Amino acid sequence: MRYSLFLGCVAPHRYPGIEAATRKIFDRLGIDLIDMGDASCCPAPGVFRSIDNLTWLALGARNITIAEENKADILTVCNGCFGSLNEVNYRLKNDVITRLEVNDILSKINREYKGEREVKHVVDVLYNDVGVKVIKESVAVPLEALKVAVHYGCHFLRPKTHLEHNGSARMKAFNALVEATGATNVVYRDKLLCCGAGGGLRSNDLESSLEIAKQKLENIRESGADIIVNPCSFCTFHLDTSQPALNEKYGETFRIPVLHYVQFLGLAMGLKPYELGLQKHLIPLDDLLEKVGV
Amino acid sequence: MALRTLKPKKIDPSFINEVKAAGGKNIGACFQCGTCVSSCPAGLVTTYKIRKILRKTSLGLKDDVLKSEDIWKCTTCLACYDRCPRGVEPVEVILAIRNIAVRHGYFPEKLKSNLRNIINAGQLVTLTDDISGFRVELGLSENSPHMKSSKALDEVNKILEITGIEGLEV
Ligand code: SF4
Ligand code: SF4
Repeated sequence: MRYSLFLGCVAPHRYPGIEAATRKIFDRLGIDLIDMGDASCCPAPGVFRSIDNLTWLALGARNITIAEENKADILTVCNGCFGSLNEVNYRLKNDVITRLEVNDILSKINREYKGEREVKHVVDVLYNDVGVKVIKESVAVPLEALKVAVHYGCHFLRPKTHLEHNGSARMKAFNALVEATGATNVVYRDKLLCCGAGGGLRSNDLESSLEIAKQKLENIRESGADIIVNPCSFCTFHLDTSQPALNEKYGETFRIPVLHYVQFLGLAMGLKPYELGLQKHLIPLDDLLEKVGV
Repeated sequence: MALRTLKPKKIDPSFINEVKAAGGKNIGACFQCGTCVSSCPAGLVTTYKIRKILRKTSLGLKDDVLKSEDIWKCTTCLACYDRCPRGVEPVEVILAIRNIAVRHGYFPEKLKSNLRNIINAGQLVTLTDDISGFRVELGLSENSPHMKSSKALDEVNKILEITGIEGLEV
C-alpha cells in the first residue's frame, strides 16, 4: 500500500506534531507515504471557494494531478484538505463541462486532470484499507483510563452527496478507531456542532469563531471528558488555541487537551509524547499522560 | 413588525440569475422553512440568517446582500446542505454570493491577505521561525514538504492570472 501524502498548510506550519505522528504511525504499519513536493495549499475550501470557484477548482485539480503522476491515491490529515480535494475530484469526475474548463486552464501549465485517483481521509485509510483489527494489534499502551470526547468535524461527515459512505457510517468508523486504543467514547450534547473555524470565519471574524468554539467546549466540559480527539488539523488548531483565548476573554477555565487522531494512535502505539509534538500544544497534556502511565 | 415597502430602484431582478450562474443554482426551490437557520452554527452567534439572505437574493436586493457583513459569517459546515428539505444547498448560494461580492470589490481584508499568502508562498498558513525550529526537533524537514520548487509557485500564479484573481488582492 502506498499513498501520496497531502499535508496541507496547518499541520506542517502550526502543528508539525501531526505530520511527525502521521509519518511514524504509517511507518509502523508498513505503508509508504510519498511526499508531494509540488503541491500547494489544497486550497482552503472556505477561504478560496469564497473568493473564486473556478480558481479553487483549478488549484485543487493541479494538486490531484501530482497524485496522478505518483500513481498513488491522496491521503489527507485535515478535514479542510479532504473537503476541498475530494469535492474537486468529485466534481471533475462527474461534470464534463467543468472538467473541460479546468483542463483548459491546466493545459497552460502543461498539466491534465485525468480523474484516475481517489482522495482519502486518513480515517478512511485506517478503517477501510488497514482495518480496525490491525490497529488494535498495533496498540502497545492501551488508553483505557481515558474518556474521549470525539469531534468529527464538518467536512469529514458532509456533504452526504459527495461521500462514498454516509455520515453515520463515517461516525461509526471514527468511533471504532478511537475505541480500538482502549479509550472510552463519551456522549456529549450537540456532538456534530462545527468547531467554528471554517469558511474563512477564523480569519475574518475571530470573535464569532471563538463563540462557536465556546459552545462546543462547554458541551464537552459538561461530559467530563479527559480529552478531545478529532481527525482534522484545522479543528485541532482551533480547539486548542481557542481555550486560552476564551479563558482570557471571559475568565473561563477551559483546560481540555486536544489531539489529532494520528497523535492519539501514536501514543497508543507507544511513541513518546515529544516525538508526537505534544509539548507544543497550548493545553498541556501532562496530567493526562500521567493517567495513562506514559 | 411593520411591513416595509421595497423601493423599486433598489431591486435588480437579474441578481438571482447571476447567483444561479455562479453556483447557487437551486435557490429557486427555497420555500423559506428555516431548517437551514436552525442548523446553522454561525446563526447561533451572529446576526447572519441564511434564510433571510436567500429571500433577499430572490427579491433582487443585490446591493443590500453584497454589502452585508453577514454573508461572511458562514463556516461552510454544510449542515444546511445536508438538511434542507428542498435540496437548495444553501451554502452553495452563499459561496456564489461571496464570489460575486469579491468581483464587486467587497473583499474582506483578511481574505485578501490569505490570497496574498497563496500568491507569495502557495500556502495559506505560512511557516514561522519558531515552527521551523520545532520541525527540525521532531526530525522533520525545516520547511513543509510541499511547495518545494519555484516551478510550483509559478504554476500557482499562472492559474491565478488566467482566472483573473491575481490583482484582486491589492
Ligand atoms: S432549509 Fe432549504 S427550503 Fe428551508 S429555508 Fe433553508 S434553504 Fe429554504
Ligand atoms: S454551511 Fe454556512 S449557512 Fe449552512 S449551516 Fe453551516 S454555517 Fe450555516
